[in-house]
Amino acid sequence: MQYKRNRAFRLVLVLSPPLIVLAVFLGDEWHRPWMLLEAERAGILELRAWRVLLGGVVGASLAVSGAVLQTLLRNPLAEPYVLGLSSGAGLATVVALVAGAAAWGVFALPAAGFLGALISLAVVYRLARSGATTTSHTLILAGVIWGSLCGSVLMFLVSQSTAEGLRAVMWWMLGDLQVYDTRLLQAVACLNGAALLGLLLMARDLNVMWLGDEAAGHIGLNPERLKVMALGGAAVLAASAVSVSGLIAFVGLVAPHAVRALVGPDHRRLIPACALAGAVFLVWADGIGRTILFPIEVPVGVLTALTGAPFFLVLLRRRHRTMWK
Amino acid sequence: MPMMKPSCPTLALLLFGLIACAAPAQGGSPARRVVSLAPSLTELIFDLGLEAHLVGRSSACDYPPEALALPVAGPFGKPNTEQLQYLRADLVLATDLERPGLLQALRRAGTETLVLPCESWDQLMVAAVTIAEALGDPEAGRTWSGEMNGRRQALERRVNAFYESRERPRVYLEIWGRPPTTAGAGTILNETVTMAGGRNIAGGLRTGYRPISSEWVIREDPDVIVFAYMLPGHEPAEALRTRKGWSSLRAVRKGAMCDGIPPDWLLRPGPRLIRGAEALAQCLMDMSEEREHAGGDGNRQTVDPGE
Repeated sequence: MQYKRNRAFRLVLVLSPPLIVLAVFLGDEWHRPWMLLEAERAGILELRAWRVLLGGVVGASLAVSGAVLQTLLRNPLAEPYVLGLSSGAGLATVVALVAGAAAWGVFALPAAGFLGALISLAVVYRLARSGATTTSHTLILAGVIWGSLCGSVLMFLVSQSTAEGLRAVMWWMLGDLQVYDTRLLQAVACLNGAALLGLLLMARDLNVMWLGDEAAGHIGLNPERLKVMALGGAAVLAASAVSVSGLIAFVGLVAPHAVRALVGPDHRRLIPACALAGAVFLVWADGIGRTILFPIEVPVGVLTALTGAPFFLVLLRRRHRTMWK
Repeated sequence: MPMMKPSCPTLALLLFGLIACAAPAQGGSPARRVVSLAPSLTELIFDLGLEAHLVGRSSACDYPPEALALPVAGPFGKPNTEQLQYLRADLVLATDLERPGLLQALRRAGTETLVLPCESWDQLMVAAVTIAEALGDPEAGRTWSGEMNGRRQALERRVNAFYESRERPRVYLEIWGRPPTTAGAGTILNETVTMAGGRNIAGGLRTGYRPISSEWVIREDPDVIVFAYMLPGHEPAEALRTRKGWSSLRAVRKGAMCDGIPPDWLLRPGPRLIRGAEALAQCLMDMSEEREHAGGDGNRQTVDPGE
């Protein structure tokens, strides 16, 4: 078993980078990849490269965020969506959009989304906290309720906005990996790189957390502090991903589970493997989205949902019988 | 009792008053209570000079400024049925209704509803004539569409003369930047570009108004980029210059961009559309002349677009 997992881990490490690079060739003229390297296609190559880079960063962030949340809440269905982070970020962004923040600069909307996700996490955590402890179930419940509350307010705002403004919001709600400003991507990449590293350093503690708060306490860890730190890291990953690419569902669910089935639940392997697999999944979903109906783009969130939703249902049936052992 | 016997002058005055009151109804036009749910139709009604019939507008109807004084009956294409009752509307005009069931509901309630899609020049002319007829002044509609068609023909003559010895510019029209959104076949914008002497690069795509791949625009490498943004408060040309990958476009390098035309002139299929078409034609002609003055410099670098 261990041997198999080691081999799978090495395989993920070796195969993912070339798969990510290959995704650059997905799109128009995918069957003639050499065309992309010609001088007159330089603009397109540049565009693709940035897009794949953004897809990689967002995919890795969402996948690791999902994996960590699943561990902390010990619930296989947890992901940024379930905790209301995405809805919070979405609501804040739409509020900013309605307020006309788009004219204040490139960072205005993403900053609003980021703030929304962090506020959501704080609210959900506060709601779920009783005394000095927070139980996973109340946390998820609070997340779902908060998410639906944000969702209704968001729908209200969308219903009040003009038809033209709506289009911009709708596209954002389905996810968009086109790079409009590289500064934003750089900022998100740095922030999420740091968050990822932090979570990787906490990998051993996360392994213990997986056994439950009590077990972690017995070993001498402070489960409450650890939970806050890891949740914070996961929230930063999800929030900045949402702020730069809109709402992309199911990456935080599909990638961690697939990877867990391959490399096992040890976070020292799970986190890096998740980051790579999430990046591959999103980059390929986006690549397929820009290929099938060219020159019309299929929003990437539609494709991740199309693959993710059936996966979610299968998971719901099997629960954690096989994958979590 | 002298009071009982009205004198002749009093009678005459009374009669005159009666006639004066009935005058608006005399031309066979019973005063209608009209609610317009589309900005372009509101403009059209004002331009036809029939605004006296208007009792309500949509929240998007903001032109001409006088329209703002009218009470709002709901957002664009989404009337509030209670408000319609309150305004005692007997004719609702829309280019498109968001909920199909609404039309039946309005008809059941006895409110006449005219859905007049304006996605082509011809449809706009039909809308003008239909509205004028419904408001009891068919002549106004005919005069208006006659004038508009005259201006259109004059524009087309001018454009045809200009491009007799020149290549018509290939135009990319952007109505939104995130994601890049353009107008394809079957839209009035596509028709306007053609009318103005351009060739819409998305004209061959059956897309309507759709987000489009940036890669495709870069590959097509249009001669001119035209902006007609849906929301105000943007500097599209400036934003486009810094957009990743777009700096390789010829139009961006040479600044061949038309961003001075008020978006409403192009986006609203109403009376100002012809001004949009004229302004666009002027801009495209200016760009063509500039290209000629710049000489072969640009043409040497670029590959023939083929086609």
